[in-house]
Amino acid sequence: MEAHMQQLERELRTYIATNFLLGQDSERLSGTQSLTRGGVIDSIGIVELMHFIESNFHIEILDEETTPENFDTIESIVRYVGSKLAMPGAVHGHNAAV
Amino acid sequence: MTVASTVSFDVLRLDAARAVDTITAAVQEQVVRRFRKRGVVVGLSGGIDSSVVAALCARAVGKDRVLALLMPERESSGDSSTLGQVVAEHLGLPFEVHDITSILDAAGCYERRDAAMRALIPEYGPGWKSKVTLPSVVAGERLRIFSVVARSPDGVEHRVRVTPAAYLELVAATNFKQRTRKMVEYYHADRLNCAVAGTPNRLEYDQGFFVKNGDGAADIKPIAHLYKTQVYQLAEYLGIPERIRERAPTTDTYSLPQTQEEFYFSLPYDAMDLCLYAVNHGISATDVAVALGLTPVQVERVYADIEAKRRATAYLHAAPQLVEPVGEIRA
Repeated sequence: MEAHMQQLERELRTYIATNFLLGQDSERLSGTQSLTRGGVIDSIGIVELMHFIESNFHIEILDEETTPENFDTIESIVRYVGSKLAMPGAVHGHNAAV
Repeated sequence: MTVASTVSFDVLRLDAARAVDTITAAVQEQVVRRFRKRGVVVGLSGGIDSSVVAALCARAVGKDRVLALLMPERESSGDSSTLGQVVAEHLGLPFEVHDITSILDAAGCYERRDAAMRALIPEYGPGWKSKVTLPSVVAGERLRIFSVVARSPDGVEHRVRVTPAAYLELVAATNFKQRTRKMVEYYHADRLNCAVAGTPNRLEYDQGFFVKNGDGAADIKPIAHLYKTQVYQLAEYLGIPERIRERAPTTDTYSLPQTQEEFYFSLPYDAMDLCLYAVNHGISATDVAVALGLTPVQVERVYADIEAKRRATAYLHAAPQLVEPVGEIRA
C-alpha cells in the first residue's frame, strides 16, 4: 500500500510539474504547499487537475468532494485519491505506466 | 449581545457633483489634449455602467461628439437594445444599431460554442439555451469550479461540471462577442477620428471581469476607479432613467439569463463593493461580516476569492511584454 501511495504521489507531481511548472523539478514542490494560494494552480488548473485525476485513476470526483481539504496540497490530493481508490468497487488499474 | 460594526455602506458614499466634475475634466484632457481626438464612441448595453459613461462623455465633449452604438446579436436579451436606445434618446446622443449576428455566424461563434456544449451534453442542439455558473463562495467550502447549465427546448435543465477543453472552447468562442463589439466600436472611432470609451467599474476592472482585447480594450475608462455602488450614485445624479437604474446587472453573453453574481462575483454587487473596499483599506473580515450579515469565515472566503481573481487575471491587464524597454516610446 505504501509503495502504491508513493507511485500515486510521483504521478501527481509529474503531472503538476509538466502542466503547471513547464517541466521544472517536481521534487521542489513541498507536499504541504498550497497549490492554489501559492500560485501554482489557478481555477482552470484545478479543472485540469480534476480531469486528469478522474481519467487517470478512473474515479469520479463528486461535487461535494471539491474542497480545499481534498485539493489544496499534494499531500491532500494523494490522501483523497488514495481514499477513493481504497473504496469498495474502485477501479485500481490506471492509465500511467507503473 | 449586539456587536457594533465599524464599517458600513456609508464608506462608499461620494460627492456626485464633484466626482462628475473630476471625471469630465479628465475625459476632456485625455480625449482632446492627449489623444487629439474629435469625440468619443461608446457601446451602450442598456446597463448602468455604459449609460453613465455615455452621460459623462456627453458632458465632457458635448453630446453631438458622442456616438452611441447598440450592438445586439441573436442571443441578446430584448431589453438590451431597447434600453440602450432609451438611454441614447434620453441623453440626446446620435446612435447607430449594428447587429453583430452575421459577423459572429461567419466567425463560427455559435457553431464552436455549440460543439463545446455537445462535448459536455451530447443531446445539446437547436433550441437549447445555456449559461456558465460558479458555486456560491459563501455557501460552503467547495472550490469554485465552473459548471454549465443548459435548458432543453422542453424545459428540462441539465447541470454539468466543465471539462478543461470544453470550458476553454466555450469561453474562447463566446469571447467573439466582446471582441466583435470592440472591432465595430473601433471602426466607427477610426472613421470619426474619435476615442473609444470603455465602461468597466472598479469591481469589474479590479477583478478582471472583462475580455482582453474585447470589452477590456479602450482608450479611456472613465469609471474604472468607482465602485459599482458609486456608479449608481452618479447615475441618479446624472438623471439616468429609472428603468436602467433598477435593472439587475447581467452578463448578456449567454443564451440563458445569467447574473454577474452567478457567473463571476461571489455576492450581490453592493456587498462585493464593501468587501473590495475593506480589502483595499485593511478592514477586518469580522467588521465586514457584521455589516453584511455574514460570518467572518464567509467574508474571509470572499477576501480570498478577491485575491485569487487578482492573481488569475493579472495577465488580462498586462500590456504586451517587451524583452528590453524601448525608451523612446512613451505609452
